[in-house]
Amino acid sequence: MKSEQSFMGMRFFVIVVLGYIVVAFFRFSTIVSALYIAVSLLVKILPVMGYVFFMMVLINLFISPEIVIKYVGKSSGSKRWVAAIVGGIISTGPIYLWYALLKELAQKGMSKGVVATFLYARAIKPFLLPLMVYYFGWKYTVVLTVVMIFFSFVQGFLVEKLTEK
Amino acid sequence: MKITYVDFLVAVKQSVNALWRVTPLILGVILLVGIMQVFLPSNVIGSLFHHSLIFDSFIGSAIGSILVGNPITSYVIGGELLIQGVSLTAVTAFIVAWVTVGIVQFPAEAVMLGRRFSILRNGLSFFFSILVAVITVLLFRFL
Repeated sequence: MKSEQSFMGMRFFVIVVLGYIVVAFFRFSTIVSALYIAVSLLVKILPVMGYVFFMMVLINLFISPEIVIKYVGKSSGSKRWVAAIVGGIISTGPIYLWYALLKELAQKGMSKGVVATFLYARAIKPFLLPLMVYYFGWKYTVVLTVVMIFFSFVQGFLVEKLTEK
Repeated sequence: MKITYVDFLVAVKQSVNALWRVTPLILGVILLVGIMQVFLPSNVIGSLFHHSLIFDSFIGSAIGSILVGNPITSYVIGGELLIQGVSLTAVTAFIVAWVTVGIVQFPAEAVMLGRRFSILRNGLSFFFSILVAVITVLLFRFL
């Protein structure tokens, strides 16, 4: 399973690189611009990857399936939704960096619904709210944030119900 | 709970292996983000709107779903679209879909968290981006 995932990831990477090579034959300057954006993004996320790695080590070291099931699994009731929403909001970095971490947690007992709630709540970025206020105003920012918190729970609840079947 | 040096090394090894497996996916997504940002500049996005409220919201969600990047970019584009006369509902759908739906990241998400889960999560997020936009704008005008 693990080698299959690694193979699929490598296949995806190779397909994207081949796409770059094909486009480079026709529009080389486009590829230079795209590579510049990609490298800039990579430089930005490298510290976040360090943070994700640190979090993964902590999880592997301290969090056992029993603890996760107790706190965010089915047995812990409504608190797991609150934990997922708070965790999603305070998490940083691109969403795809968290997939490995969430997979680890899912293997340790976190439900699919809680994972979905976490991922939806990640859309709320407290450190970016001042920028949103600048563009759209206080009232709009507060209303959108509250509605999104509500829908992060709704989505998790629906995903849990639909994946149980 | 007592943690030994061996426990720590095992945890580090597990984490390195997990990150190593996901590295090609992350690099692939980053390269895809680069090329999509070049092929879809903001003025191209603006030309797709100005139809009806629902259609514009749908288009906003669709474009927000395809595009990826820092949410700051979506705020900037959203602010520009508002100035160009695009409805607040469509702009809201756009910025919500930008951060909740991930078409580009889908392959990575499907591999890591399961294809069925990823289809369900992204499908719901797309539908919710329109719903969140409508509810947000209604509450915004009502309050």
